[in-house]
Amino acid sequence: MIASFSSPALAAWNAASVANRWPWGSLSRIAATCVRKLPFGAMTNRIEKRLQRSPLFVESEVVRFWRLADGADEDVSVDSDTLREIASRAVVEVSALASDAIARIAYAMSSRMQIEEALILERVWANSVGEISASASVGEDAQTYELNKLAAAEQIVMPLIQSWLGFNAGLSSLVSRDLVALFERTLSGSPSDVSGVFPQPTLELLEELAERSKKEKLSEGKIVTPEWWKHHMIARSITLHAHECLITFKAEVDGPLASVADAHMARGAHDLAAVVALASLELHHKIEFHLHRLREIFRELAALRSPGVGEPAWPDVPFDDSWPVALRRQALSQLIASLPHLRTEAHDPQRPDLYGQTFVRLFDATFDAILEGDRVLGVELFRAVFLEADRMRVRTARDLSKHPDPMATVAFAAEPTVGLMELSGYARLMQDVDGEGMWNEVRETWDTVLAGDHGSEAAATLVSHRSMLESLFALTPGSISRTARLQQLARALKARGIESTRWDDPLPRLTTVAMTRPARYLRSSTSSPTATWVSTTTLPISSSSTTSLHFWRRMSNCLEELSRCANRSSTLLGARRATRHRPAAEPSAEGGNDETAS
Amino acid sequence: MRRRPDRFEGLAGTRRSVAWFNDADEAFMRRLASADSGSGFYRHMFAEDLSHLVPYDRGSREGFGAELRGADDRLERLILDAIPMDYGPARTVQDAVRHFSSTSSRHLLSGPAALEIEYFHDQAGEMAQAFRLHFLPQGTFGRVNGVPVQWVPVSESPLSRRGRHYIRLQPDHVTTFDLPKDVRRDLRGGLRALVVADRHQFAPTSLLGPSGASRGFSVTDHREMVAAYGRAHTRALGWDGRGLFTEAMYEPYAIYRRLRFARFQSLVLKSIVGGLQEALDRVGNVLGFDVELELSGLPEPGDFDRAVDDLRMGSRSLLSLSRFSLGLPAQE
Repeated sequence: MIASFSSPALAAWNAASVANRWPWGSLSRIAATCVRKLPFGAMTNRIEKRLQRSPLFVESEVVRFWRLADGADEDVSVDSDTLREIASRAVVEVSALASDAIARIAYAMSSRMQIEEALILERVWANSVGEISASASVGEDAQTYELNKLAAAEQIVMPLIQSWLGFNAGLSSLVSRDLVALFERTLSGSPSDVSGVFPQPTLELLEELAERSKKEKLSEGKIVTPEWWKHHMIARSITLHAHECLITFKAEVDGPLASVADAHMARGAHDLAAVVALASLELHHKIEFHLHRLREIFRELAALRSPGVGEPAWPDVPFDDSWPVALRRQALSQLIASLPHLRTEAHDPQRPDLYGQTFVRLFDATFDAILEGDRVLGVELFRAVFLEADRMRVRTARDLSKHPDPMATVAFAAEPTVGLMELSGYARLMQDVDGEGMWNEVRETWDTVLAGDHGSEAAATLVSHRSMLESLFALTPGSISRTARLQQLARALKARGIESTRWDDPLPRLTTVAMTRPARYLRSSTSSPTATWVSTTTLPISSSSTTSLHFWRRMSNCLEELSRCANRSSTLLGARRATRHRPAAEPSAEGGNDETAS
Repeated sequence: MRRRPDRFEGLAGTRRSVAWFNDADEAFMRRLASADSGSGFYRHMFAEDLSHLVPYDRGSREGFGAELRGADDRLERLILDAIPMDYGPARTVQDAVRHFSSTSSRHLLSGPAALEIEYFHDQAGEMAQAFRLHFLPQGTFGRVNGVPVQWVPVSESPLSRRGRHYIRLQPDHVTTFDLPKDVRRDLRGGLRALVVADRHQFAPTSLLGPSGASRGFSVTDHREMVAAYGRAHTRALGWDGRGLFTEAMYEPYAIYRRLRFARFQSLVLKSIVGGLQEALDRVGNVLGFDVELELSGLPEPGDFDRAVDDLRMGSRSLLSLSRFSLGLPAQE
């Protein structure tokens, strides 16, 4: 079984396909060479003061983690700017902060919506690990040092990811509770339940509300300020603080983080740039993923808003969906620029496979861009993947050359090029569905290759790879990914109002055939009963008839176009050199069978 | 500008009370000063605020309605000329009510308000042709053996009782009106608290001393202490010390206090209008008319109770309640 194959290269490929996880150890190894001497001292003491400022605020893990200064500054209050200034001068003992300790702290602080403090620590941390990743390799164990530099580069992003996750988790946890009951319990004098639940400004407001309620009781014999007003103010306080946290977080991501990868690239450290960009992609994905929930949370908090207060404005999420998209584009551009510099002749099991990992990320991003209709990014990504696909094929074949099963070697090596064909099919389909897309650029790219000196060999290789994978009865990582992409396609079509309710609906069959087994589809497209059926039968689609008809009409066009492509490939193969200089955009009217030709 | 003819010119009045005291002795002035409930920082502000019992509207409108039902134009003019005003006769019934209620509220601070009715006769002296109402200055109305009198300085009258000199007033020419007992009790309690607050007015200056520093004394804490005291002891009145009692409190509480104070004012106004009506009734018996003073467009005490309920339930906006508490028209 191919699924049971095991080799370092295969493992690396699988690992890269599944998730962005480093096979290295923690940063503790850096400690031997990069020890800083003093603890955070005054700064940590001040952060503790902030956290403990309210009597409702219990001592936290964060407080326990930081070492106290000698007490000289115990009574000194400090504002945020001073705290930042101290942070910029603080010296970090890397050994004490090794591994994911900072990330854990960032999570803990952010879950209490102490984003500002978390990011101050993150900045200090980023400066320190930034120095490590920018330093020259020294000592005898230079290779280990190089690895740790990569790990350090990744560690710049991880606290931000954890800050984001912690913030969302904390806010979700807060909103998931019965807020009205929680407010009332707190105001009636049971603060123990809420320590660590509310952000600091809200705690201060709660304290003030409790204090003024006491005053009202003394003055009037009862509490006068109505509950609805208090609920409004508390919800507003939480919302406003969350809003400010998000602004602070966005500024950190847009500012210092965005420039890290570029700085690495500028000094030729493309591996470090790739590491930062890959980690940033994870951050951007998480931002994008949680944004919807974040908006829901803001809406839930806004439900406690009372029109009686007469407040015209209510805070909302301070950015729209375009922000993570823009971030993703930036990180992908950095990966595109780094990819050629990451090429390796063979996979080194002692090092992370940055080339393979970046290639897979860009491949997946291409597919996403096609489905999302992002033509500019999609074309850029497709060309980057296209240029590297054959090198990736060659390298995979080389890595697996000693594998006992030669079929496995071929199967895995064929994935990059078959993947390109698959992407091309999606590009064609989505252009027909949406009325616009990147198919023309994709076709031109193919035409350039097929019309080149080695066009016929390339076409033959493509067809043979396709045929080989079609004939393979096995569960491979590539086939699993293809299935996942098909499911994504179904969701994308559903989002466009194209949905089937009948079990015998030909849509899944057609898309499956067109995308996963194009050769088989192409062979039958001109004369098969399926194609005839598509053009003549009443359409069994459940969505609005206009949309359905529109889609099926486009689908038919798509099938015809694919058919013409197949004919052209067949003609190319048949005519060999004679057809090399033929205009690529002119589809052949003749039918053909690519598998037969191959 | 043509001067309006004076209705009372050439007529003889029946007034006995004295409005101004020349050559007043020290004991008399002391008693007069003790009856003045409107002196002192907080009491002065309270007296001013309380006196705004009916609204002033923008422009030429009055902000409320007032009518002398049963009076023709001539009789209405006769009555308007009789109502005490500081700056000449009232133009309108609303104007007269506004001024009368404002003056009355100050008189009511220290006790019942007393009015002497002055009738004007022609030379023949048979039939009263006009009348005027005169407030007796605060602290000068009393009774000696059941007869209404005005306490005056020694120089004004040889009559005395226990060392206090007085002028006898005609019983059927005097009318008094007061607040309901519970309102009077609340007012008395509130004023006592304001006296205490007044005494604290200059405490920071004294405690800080000439050097400007006194250990352990906080101006802020002291101010909040006075505010808390004022809030608690003027609860029934609802007065907010022009914001000094509520500056450290939330907006809904401040609105609540204003609503309570407006309610208190409406109770005071009811008493005053009742007192004026009684005076008109008495004059009407002599001059032969029967009029009824009717006010409209003013909220009743129950309206303020409902507003407080609205505040509690959130069924009206704070802005709307705030405007209502200040006697402003609802925003269009």
